[in-house]
Amino acid sequence: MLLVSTVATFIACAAGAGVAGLSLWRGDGSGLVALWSLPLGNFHIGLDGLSSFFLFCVFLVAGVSAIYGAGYLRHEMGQRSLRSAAVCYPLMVGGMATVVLARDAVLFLIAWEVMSLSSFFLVSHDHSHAQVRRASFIYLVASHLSAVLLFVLFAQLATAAGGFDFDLLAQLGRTGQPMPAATQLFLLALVGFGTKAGLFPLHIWLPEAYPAAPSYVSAVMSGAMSKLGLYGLLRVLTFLGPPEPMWAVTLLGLGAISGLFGIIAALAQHELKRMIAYSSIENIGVICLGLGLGLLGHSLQNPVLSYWGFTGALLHVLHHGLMKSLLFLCASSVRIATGERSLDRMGGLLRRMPWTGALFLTGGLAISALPPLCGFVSEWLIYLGAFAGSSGSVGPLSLLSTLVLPTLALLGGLSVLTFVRAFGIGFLGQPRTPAAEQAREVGPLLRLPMVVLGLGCALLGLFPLAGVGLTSKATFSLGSLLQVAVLWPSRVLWRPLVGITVTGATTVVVLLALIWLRGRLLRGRPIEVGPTWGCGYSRGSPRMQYSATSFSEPMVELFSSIVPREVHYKAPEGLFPRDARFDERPHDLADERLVHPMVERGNVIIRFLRRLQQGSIHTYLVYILVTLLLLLVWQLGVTSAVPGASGAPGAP
Amino acid sequence: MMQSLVQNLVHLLVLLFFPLLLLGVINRVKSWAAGRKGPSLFQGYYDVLKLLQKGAVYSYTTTWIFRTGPLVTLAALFVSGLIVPLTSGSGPLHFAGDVLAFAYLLALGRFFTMAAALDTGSSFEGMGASREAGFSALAEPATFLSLAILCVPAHSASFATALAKLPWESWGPAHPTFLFAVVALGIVLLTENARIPVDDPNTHLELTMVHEVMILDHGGPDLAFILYGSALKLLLLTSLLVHLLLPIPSEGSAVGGLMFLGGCVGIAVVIGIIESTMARLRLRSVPQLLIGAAVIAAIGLGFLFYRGEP
Repeated sequence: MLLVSTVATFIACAAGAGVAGLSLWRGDGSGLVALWSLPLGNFHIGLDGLSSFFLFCVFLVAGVSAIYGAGYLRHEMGQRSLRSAAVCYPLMVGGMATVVLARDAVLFLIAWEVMSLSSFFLVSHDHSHAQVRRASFIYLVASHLSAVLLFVLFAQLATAAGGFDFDLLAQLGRTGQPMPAATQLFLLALVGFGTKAGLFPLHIWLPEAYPAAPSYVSAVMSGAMSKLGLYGLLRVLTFLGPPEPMWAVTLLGLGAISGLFGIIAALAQHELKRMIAYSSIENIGVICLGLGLGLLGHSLQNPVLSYWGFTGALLHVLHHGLMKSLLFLCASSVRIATGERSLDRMGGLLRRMPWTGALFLTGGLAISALPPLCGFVSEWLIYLGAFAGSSGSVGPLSLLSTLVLPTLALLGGLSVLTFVRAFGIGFLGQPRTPAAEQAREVGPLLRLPMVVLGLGCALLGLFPLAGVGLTSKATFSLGSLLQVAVLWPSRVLWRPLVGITVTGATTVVVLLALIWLRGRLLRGRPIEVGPTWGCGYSRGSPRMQYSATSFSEPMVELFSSIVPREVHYKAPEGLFPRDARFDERPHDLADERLVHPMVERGNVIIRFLRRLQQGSIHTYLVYILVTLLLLLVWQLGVTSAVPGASGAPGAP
Repeated sequence: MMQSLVQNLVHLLVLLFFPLLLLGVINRVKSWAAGRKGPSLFQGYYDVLKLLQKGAVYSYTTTWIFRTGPLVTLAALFVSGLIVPLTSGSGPLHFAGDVLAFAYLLALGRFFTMAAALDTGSSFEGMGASREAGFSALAEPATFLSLAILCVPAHSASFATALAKLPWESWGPAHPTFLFAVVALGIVLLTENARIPVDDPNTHLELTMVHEVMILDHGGPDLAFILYGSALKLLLLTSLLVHLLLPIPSEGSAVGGLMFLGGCVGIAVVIGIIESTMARLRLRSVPQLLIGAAVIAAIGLGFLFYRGEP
């Protein structure tokens, strides 16, 4: 069952990625309309540049993760039923693909629900743990609250357009003037889709669900599914007419806040997967900065800015899919090999798991936007957009675009800090626990997907022309759908992209030359091995190493208002201190300050409603009687007020 | 063609042989100020040559990260040295957006210095890495705001174009923006190169070190690479300041080259004077200094927009 599911999913993903890639290469694809027996809407699917690109990302990440999933679940075979995992994974991938392909609001929402529900079942895979059940419940609630907003959104759009077909909806914005209430609809879409994407402060399900899910599922959820939130937002924006400056400002502001919050919260986490989950929030923020710049290009009438912004954002979608899945899969391999979740209980893993360690390093470098890996390329494009936006015109909007520069710079610096910490504490030094000491490298079936993703990160970083070529159709498609002029700066684009390749290649060549030089110098000379310098103290134990907590303490202290912490500290006392301890648990700002108080208030209100639920059948019979009487009165009132409006069903 | 070849050759020679002299100048100024005779101006070269002839000792905790860390750092610094303009207005490697490649290559080097430090499993080195990472993360906004001051008026994120379009005629009090950039970049320079008031290169107590403590376990050729690398980093950031302060002709010339070298030595003297007259800040105050630098640069950028330059 598992084998069939994996092989079928993989083949489907490979074929799908091939078709999407081909469509990106050849230009706009066509659509397919079929009738179906459901009321409202048609089975209308279609493929344009934007969909092809997202489809490509979905299939790429899902296909690679499917292989890992097979290897992952093999460990559980025979212990429990894997049927639900084997069924839900393909269902989730199919749901995601249909979300991207759908050209009809009803189909879109159905696919959206399929995607959300199947991923809920996958998140609750390890449902024997209370924490996993709690996480998947939060995920389910968050998905459905956002889905309600999406229902409202599409209902309003469909009322205005007179139908659910996306072609009809697209006519709304083509009138040349903005739709009435466009900003309200934009905000509705932002909240509804932003929840899926994990924008601050709608992200609270995300750091719970990603660590709870099996890692190959987290890889897909973070690498592909969260991007579909952004896809949905973009698709709805195309219905609302030419973008208003306020939308760009909102996206930039939310992007900056999500980015800073995400990375600072990631810095404070002790659990590896939770840290990677928070880093997703940061990257969604970066993508929003790019999209915001792209929309800003419309307000500033700077089509080159739109190009940089959209291309950077879309490319970051692809790159983040690769590097985030890679990191999740590496974290999963560590979990399989050691059984540990917390960074402070790992250590020395690079020596014991050379492949996983090197690949985690690759992913960490890429996501810290360091050259010559792929993360750098997309952030570089967004930077260029910010530079383009700040020059050329004077005004608050261009100043705003200048402010993207220090924001991205701070995000980059903090990402370096976060991922040096994760790699250095988790994979270097001495093992901190016996479990880490006995870790063994994972098998080839688990290694292969990680290697593929790592290679992708390296190649797209060294040859940015490939990535930019892949996104260019999507960028123009997005521009024309949004009615934003996008100008391909062909005159200036080739050289810098080649410049990046040259820079990366030179770095590699210089590095190889230095390695050779060092080997040459050390040939024939004594190379000794000894203990690490301990300042004269020779009884150091692995537990005395700098821990993840201590590594990030200065910065977490500095940003303590963003990451509230629960600290239990028992100071050493007396001349011969015993049992001193320090325990720190980072909390989520949005959860603690926003969602939790809201839920508390909500509970107070709901407590009144609870009185209705008495559990006594007599009371319920009274409810039915009262309802019928009220309906009767209402019906009589309506018929008597409007004479001739008879034929009301139910009136005897 | 010939001229650019010569220009690139000069660039490469300066990159290879000049940086260590700056360390000598700083130390000479400090010893003068302290009334000592001080080491030779060329002590840095002697140190590197001596270290290159040695063998190596590695901790049994370490992996290939520790061995390649200094090499990656040096490679990244060297390539960013190819991007940054030295004696002329552009480096051998230049393209739109090279400013960003420069900044992120420095970050790549830092990443591997810190990873190599953590590879030893020593708490001292972990502590140094933690401090270095925090300080340099906070220095990034100041760096990028200063770079924005440089690049926004020129409408280009490339050193070559930005420097060519610096408005020298209105430089100075009439155009204070660039002074803000100079101050902010100056603070970044002191931070990135582990100088007073952020870090004291002369300290001998591991607990108070930032940069030095990360390289405690390196020796032999690796340490030589690290020494040369940190001198190189000093040169790179110094050269940005020199180009902001002196009108060095963008096409390479002997005068420009001499101006550049003189400017670098001048800044090294200033660093020496700062180190002789100031104490370092408490570690907790360093973030304030860096955020202050970012604010200074932001004010400069505000001036730029207020004047309607971009």
